[in-house]
Amino acid sequence: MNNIFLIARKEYKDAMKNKLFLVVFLLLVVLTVTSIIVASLLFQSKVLDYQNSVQALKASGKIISISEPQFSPLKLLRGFVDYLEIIGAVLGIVLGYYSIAKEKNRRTLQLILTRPVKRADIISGKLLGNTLLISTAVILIGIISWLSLVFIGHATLSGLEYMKLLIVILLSIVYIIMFFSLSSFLSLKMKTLSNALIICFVIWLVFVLIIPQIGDTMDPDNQVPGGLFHSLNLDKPHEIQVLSHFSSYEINRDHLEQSSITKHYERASFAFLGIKDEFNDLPLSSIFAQKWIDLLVVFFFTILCIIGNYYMVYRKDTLSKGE
Amino acid sequence: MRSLIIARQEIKLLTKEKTVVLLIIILLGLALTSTFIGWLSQHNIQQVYDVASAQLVSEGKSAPPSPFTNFPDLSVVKNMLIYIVICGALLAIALGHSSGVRDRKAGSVKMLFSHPINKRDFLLGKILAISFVLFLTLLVAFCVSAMSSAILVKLTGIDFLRLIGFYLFSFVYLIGFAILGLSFGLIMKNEAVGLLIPIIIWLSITFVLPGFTSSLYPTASLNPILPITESHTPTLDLLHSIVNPFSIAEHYKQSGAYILNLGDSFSGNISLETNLIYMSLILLWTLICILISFIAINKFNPANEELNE
Repeated sequence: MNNIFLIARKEYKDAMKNKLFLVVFLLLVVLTVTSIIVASLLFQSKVLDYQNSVQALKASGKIISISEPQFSPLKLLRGFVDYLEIIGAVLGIVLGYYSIAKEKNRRTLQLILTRPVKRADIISGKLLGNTLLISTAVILIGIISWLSLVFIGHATLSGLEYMKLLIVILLSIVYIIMFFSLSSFLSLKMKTLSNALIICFVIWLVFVLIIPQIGDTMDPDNQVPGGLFHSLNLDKPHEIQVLSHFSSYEINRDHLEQSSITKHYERASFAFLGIKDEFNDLPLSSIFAQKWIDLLVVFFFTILCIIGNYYMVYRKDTLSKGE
Repeated sequence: MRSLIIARQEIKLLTKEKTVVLLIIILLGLALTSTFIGWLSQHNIQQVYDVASAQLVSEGKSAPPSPFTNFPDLSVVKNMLIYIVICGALLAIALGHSSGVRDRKAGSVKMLFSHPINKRDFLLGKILAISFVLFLTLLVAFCVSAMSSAILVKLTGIDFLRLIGFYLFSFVYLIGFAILGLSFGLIMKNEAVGLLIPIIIWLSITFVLPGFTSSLYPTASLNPILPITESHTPTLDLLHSIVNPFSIAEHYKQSGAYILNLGDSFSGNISLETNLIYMSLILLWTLICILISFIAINKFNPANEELNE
């Protein structure tokens, strides 16, 4: 157990000296804060537009038929989820790569094993150290987001909203650990480290960007600026009624989206943060009941990638591979 | 002449790189998928509109005119605007990086420079090689797009010319990323850092800047259709005017849509003059990347072959 903690501490210290990790982390912080500022300004501008419209309608003696913009503070965190799903994944990839590359370059894995250290301890230590590091980074970003919500968005959160934010932070940590584990697995498996990094980015490209992009562009409501149903003045029940005629198309689109782990992370996070209106006022139990599959998929793939690391480190040839 | 010899050798080696070949296959696969998905979603959305308008009429309401009546046939390839921005750029970076680190990795730099070759010949040879491979990839992608579109929709001669123009414009956009990958591959002591720096620059251009200029969420910038401009505040307008010139991924998407004549939903309501400014900014980006490569080659020391992964 002591070995695991020693390796974990070394991992943490090494990563804190890694300039690229710090650059990506700072990028994430700046982007999250900026996205909250932009979302707050947009909301304020909507409120101002609403007030101007109400005044104009009142002045002309007309009935006020427009609805007041509803403020839901957690909705301002959409950028937080979006950036974590794209750049957070890159952060995981960078950490996973460096975690193995430094050992392979210095040929220290073989050296560690001359000491009374089990092979599994190496992976457990690396996993523990990097989990702590990723958790620190995501929690820090979460705290900065919360402060931005309070001081820039002028929002006050309820106990339930704090709980929802905490769940999304935990889910984000698991999601990034998955990319960390995938990257370290590929770095262990492949002979050429740079190829492992490129393959990891190809997987990231396909599952984080391309599949969700295809799913989104196949969505009938995304084919017109502002949404087709909005342009037709159709409300949600009518929209569902119309789309019921195209159930097979929608099922296929949904299956395509479900093949991406990022989409599962996004769906669950958007539900907890109430970014999708239908989840906005739901209690936690209802959201869990509807989104448990998305949560399960994220956890399943993370565990699978972690197991892959343990498998690789027990393979005889893994530790002898290097450039 | 010496540059040509280097370029010829480089092309041979680049086409043997498995990761580069994999990215080329993905891009070509996306060119094919793009047309099919474009056609399928367009076909489906028209049916959705028909059902929705019939429902409105049955309720005694009037249905607004179809927003898809004036969609040009080339809109089936609209997703290529996004695939070039994401997959094409990553391919270009991998291509340039691979070319930049190869000689140091193989330990052949000193041997190479024992011949009468200067650094400029070396750089020119590398740039020629990556340009050729990128051009060839885009040429094949053009053929895939043109053939698949011609099967699914009726294309005119002008449509083909527009498609050629679009792929040539994409080449200008992508070559900047390839040269950036080459430059960092040449000078960075650590191979991974040489790859990750251009990737971070690309991420910033593709996902970060649109967030400042158009208040776009990163995932929203993956949709070729532009969002409706939301009401702005003076602060956002100021931010937009400062960052907009640097947001070249957005300029590429809008100008690309303009070349393909996809309409205002894709290109925004931009005039020819604005479009020319956007194109000039992309050309400027490519020139800056070429300048960076000259700075990189001056820093490049053939006597120092050290390269860590």
